[in-house]
Amino acid sequence: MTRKRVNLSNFTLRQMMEMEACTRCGECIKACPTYTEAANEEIHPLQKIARTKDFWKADHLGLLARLFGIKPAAEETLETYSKGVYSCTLCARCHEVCPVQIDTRPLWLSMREQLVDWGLYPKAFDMLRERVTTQYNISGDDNSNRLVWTDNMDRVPGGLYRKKGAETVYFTGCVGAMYPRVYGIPQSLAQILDRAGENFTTLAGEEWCCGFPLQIAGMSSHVEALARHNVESVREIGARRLVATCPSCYHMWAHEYPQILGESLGFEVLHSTELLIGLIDRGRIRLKGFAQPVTYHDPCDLGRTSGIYEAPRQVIRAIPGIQFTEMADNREMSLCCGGGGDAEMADAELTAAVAKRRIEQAQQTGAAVVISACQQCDRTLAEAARKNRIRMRAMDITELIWQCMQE
Amino acid sequence: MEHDSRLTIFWIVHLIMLGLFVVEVLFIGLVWFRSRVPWLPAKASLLSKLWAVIGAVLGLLFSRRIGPLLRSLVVDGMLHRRLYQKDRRRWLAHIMVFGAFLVLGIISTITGVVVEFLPLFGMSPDKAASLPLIGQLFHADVWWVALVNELLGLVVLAGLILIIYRRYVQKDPQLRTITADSILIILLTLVVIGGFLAETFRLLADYTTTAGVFAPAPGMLSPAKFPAVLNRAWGPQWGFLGYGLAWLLGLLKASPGVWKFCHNLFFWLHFVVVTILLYYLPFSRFFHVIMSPVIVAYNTMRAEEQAKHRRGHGAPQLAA
Repeated sequence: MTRKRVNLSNFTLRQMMEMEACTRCGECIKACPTYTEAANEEIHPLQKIARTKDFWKADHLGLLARLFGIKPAAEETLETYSKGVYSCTLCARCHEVCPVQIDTRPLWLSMREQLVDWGLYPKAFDMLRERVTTQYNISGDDNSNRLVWTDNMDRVPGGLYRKKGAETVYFTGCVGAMYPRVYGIPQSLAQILDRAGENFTTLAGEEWCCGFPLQIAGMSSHVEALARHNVESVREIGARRLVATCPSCYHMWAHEYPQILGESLGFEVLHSTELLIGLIDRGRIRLKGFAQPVTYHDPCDLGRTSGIYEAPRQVIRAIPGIQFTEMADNREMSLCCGGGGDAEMADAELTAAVAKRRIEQAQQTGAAVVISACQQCDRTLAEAARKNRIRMRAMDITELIWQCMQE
Repeated sequence: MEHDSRLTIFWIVHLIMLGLFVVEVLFIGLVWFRSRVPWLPAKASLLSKLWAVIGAVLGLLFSRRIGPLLRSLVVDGMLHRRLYQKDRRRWLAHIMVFGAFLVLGIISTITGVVVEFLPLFGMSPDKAASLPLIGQLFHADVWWVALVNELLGLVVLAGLILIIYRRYVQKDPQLRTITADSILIILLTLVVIGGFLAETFRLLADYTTTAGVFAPAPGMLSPAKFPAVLNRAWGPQWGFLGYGLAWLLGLLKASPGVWKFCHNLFFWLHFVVVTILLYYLPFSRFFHVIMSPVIVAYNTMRAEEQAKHRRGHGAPQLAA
């Protein structure tokens, strides 16, 4: 069977130019966390760009491409290319070190769109697409269970069910709302906001997946409907701001939705750490000390992808007497925890190796707790600590703050 | 001496190749336009995409963003600030090859204009050579032209040696050497070495007496080739390497005809390799020479704008 030609509309004009601008200097190879672990030539950014250029040139430049030795790709080559593209955690560390400043993460997403066009993607994504487009969440549970995380709370804050006129909407995200291991995150933020006297609510069953998992799978055509529904739901409540604990949800709301919908949302979008530092600065929450030494892991979607590095650090430093040590690689150069990019679906062993390196780096700081601001990083790091017998706890920043607010 | 017809051929062919180069770039550019322009519908026509992009580019050029863009183009695109911050040695090698080639290319182009094109408009060699700033580029034996060409050639050569050492001797693990890399490095080395040898044999051909003695003097060149107005600036010995080599080879006492043959050989080698480089470039992996300064300038400007926007974002407006 002959494959379809590369559909260039999966790429933007700027990306076409960026691929030509790649100098093949190899800085990205040194920085790539998955290549470091796998040493598979198909994974690193330089190779992905070189392959993609060869594919489109072979398909679109005809005789000229043949003249310069560019041949159409064999089926086997396309499969290894797909494996390389989907093994990427989308951490965007390659962008930070690129001397040409190629906007790599969106480029990897465009490659995934092309691979979905060709049907060359991990089949687990079909189930993900099915769940998100029919049940509106990644777990496949009934979406009306979005507030199930409140079930075991001693005291459930009032007004969580789509309270009209609430000033703040808390977007819990699929993982926070439906995966018991991280219920502590929405529970903590809800209690913090309640204690701070914030007028807040959630979208409850009207909260649909933000679309991030589909966007990074290369299935972005399904995202607009999700975005439109979510934005309309917040507008119906009349909130002034939306807050998310999940950095991926935050990224979608703050950076992708306005572009996808082609309009301003009409309300402020904050990550929970930005809201927390605001509340701390105004004295609306009071913190006690935290006895154990901590370090902080920058989630890729919050740091490199969304540009938020300082708010979480300010929140941690606001805790009286806290012992906080940075890891060797932090902020823009932070190492990925391995949990991003849906890469676990393509190669779980590889992402576990990436996580191991990060938790070992956290251990080197002498900290007993690694703080993050992402439920996925928490899960991946905790798992890595357990598997590698490292005595270190992973904790979300909202859980840390709630703990520091206890009497 | 009569006008050097080889130079005329050189420049005519180069103009044709330049045209071909532009056609190649336009062709690739048109294929690029099959991609998506983010602010237009996915199925927008080629024409509407073209208009949208032209509009955006003009909008950028005639806006306040032009200042930061030009600054990024120079600092990041041409001077490679990020590479400088990362690794001084690599930066030096890169800037030596890229920068010196760029200046040599500019000098050659100006020489071509002065020697070949101005006479087409009726300007005499004397008058062309008297033009302020560019007139003395009329001939490579003007002392400072000889010196600058020599130094730039040596800078390129030294840069290439650094590049060859890193890639083939040191074998830096972050590099992935493919055949195209080796081809380009060979072509660039041929251009430089061929250029040095062409110049050496040119000196021998021009300044060897019929008795086979290498005895340079300005009077040995015809006024059409070396206008009298340049006599005071004559100084081929400033091109010390080529001149020294010519002096050494001159000891062989060969006739001017032999040197002319050698000169022609290396002149055409130099010409052919430069032409191949120019023609091959848009289809090679080295199109980055053109694309990366543009992209790095734009991306750096955008990154700075976004950082500024984030700093201005500030804390949320919460009630006290």
